[in-house]
Amino acid sequence: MIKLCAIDFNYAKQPLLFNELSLEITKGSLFGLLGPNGAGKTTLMSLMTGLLTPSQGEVAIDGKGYRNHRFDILSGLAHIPQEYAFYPQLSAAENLQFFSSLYPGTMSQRRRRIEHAIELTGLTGHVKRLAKHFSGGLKRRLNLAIGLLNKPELIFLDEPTVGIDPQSRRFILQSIQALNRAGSTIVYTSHYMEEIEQLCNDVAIMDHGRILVHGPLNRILEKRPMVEIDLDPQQQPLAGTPFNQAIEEMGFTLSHHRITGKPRDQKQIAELLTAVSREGIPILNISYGKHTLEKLFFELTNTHLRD
Amino acid sequence: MLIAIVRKELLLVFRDIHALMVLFLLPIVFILIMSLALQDRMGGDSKEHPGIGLWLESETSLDKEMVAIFTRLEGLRVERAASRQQLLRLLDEKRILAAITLPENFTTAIRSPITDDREKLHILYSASLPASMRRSILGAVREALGEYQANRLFEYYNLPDEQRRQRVDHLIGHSLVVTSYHTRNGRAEQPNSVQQSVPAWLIFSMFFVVIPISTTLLTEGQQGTLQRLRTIPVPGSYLLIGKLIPYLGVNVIQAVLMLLVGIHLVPLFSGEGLRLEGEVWLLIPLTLAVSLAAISFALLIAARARSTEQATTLGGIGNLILAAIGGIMVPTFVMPALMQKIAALSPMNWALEGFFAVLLRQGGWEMVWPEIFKLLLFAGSLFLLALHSYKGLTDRKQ
Repeated sequence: MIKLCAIDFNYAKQPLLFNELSLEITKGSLFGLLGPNGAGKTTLMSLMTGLLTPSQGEVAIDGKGYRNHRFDILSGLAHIPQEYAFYPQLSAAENLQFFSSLYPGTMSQRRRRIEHAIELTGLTGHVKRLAKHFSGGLKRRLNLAIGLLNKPELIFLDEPTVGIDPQSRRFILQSIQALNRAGSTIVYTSHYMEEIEQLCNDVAIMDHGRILVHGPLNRILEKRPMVEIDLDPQQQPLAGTPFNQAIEEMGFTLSHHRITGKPRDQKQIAELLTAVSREGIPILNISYGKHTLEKLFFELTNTHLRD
Repeated sequence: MLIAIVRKELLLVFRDIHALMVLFLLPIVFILIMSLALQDRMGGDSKEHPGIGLWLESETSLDKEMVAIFTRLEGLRVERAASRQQLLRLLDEKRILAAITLPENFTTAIRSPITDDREKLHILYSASLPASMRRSILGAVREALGEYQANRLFEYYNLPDEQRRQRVDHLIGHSLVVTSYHTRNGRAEQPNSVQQSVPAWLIFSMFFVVIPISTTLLTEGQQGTLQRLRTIPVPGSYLLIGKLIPYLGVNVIQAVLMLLVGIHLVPLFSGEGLRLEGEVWLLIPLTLAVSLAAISFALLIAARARSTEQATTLGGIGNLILAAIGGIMVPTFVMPALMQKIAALSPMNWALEGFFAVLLRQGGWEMVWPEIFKLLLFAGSLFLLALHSYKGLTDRKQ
């Protein structure tokens, strides 16, 4: 289990990014970490992998802190950064040999681990080529393969599917699922919501250094059923009208001929539809039910552009 | 683990064609050019002496004697011109450094107690000629005139040629002066320009490990490889030592190669070869100390720089400054006293003094160890600073 207990962190000469942030990730889960650019995902991951140290609080992996058990924790962990974290001037085999030799083990153990990583990431037939000549997909797979050389129980994946073709993406996602099924705990960040929805059973959305929501994916999405009614945009502007006021009094939002909100119950949806029909405005589309992750994400983090 | 890091670094450096050119081709070219270009300025017997042009407005038998004395001048090549125009053309074409005109009846005028300007020998220097060369040429001309005058003096004694030459040599000091070179073992061989160029440009090129070291270290930082390495249970010191060892090997290869270039390649280009004499084994600890200093300097720059461009610029400029003040580009003996004191602060100067102690002065351990000690102290301090800055590389990446 990963446990972050009331951690504070700030970069030098920067304001506090995390203030008493706490988070628990259960063993064996496939945990998705979402957030817009600058939300603090990579910093959080760096704290969890021991690359950064919190100014207050503690990060514990299976009850062990980095201060006293650093190498012990790192030996069972893999960090697969978003960048291609290998040597492009070396062949895939040379890269795998180099990184595997940094972990303890006999020659034959290392060889088996390399073979396993090659097999799992589908690199067979490419190992002798220089990594700089690889396609984006192959580079991503090599990046992943290097992370598997110590047979990690805990894997941190930072946007591992950026800039690759759908086939490679599918292959990588399947590999990640296979690793999780084999018992590895996986912490996964991505900007692709459908990936997180497809892969993860545990999700957290963060912004401005705070965890906004965290829990099992199904429960998060079910918690917040949403109604959306698209009205005919050809109608006269509705802002400031008594109809608008009535909608807001019911707890919904009317903006650009779209009504959105979280109804108390189904009876309130009926009241809302009655109000719309009384006004005689044609309805183009009605949706109600579970949030999609994307809708929840935008609801929590807003839609304005980030740096 | 360390072997794997060393192997990886060696693969990276030997697959980087630009690094190889900077580390191996650049010093070879420098050694060849500077050894040949400076072979007459920094000792050595060059086959090509600097030339002076000589034109006689009239030519008598006495003038011929004067010409003969000129052509015997040590270290100068005399080209005769048939006319003033030809003399000036030789100067324009840079075939000579100075044009000497002997006026009509000069050999008569030379005996007069007073001569006016029209009767005097005239030296026209090339405008770009350095002061030291002007002084050398003026000295040589005055020596030729002195020899001529002395010959005239002894004419009256009606001495046999041999005796007269002996007395002239004695009078103008030729036979009163003997020269040698100070070396520890007392061998009187003249140091040549290769003896000075090889260590100078070897040291300069050894410090250029800053280019591949900073490129690989900063690329590791930029590509996330360093982050990955720091989440692998390997001490940071191993990663830095893993960079130090292969470049120590690269520097040793450079040293062997440059010595071989000095011994075998330079003579093929009409220059003198490098002579390895005295306690040559001292070059081994000296080379290792220079290498450690160069690598530590490179590691510190790489660990402190924020981009490859910044590191290569800082490293390149740093090397040039250390070389300029350290006597690599301009020998310290031609520097004024203040600059010589500043030169003594450059690690390249300590390295150069160490090499000179072995190659030029045939010195022993007692002459070399102070330089080795300074270099190791410099290397140790910078390595510790680099190690301290190394962690900052990943932190800056967040």
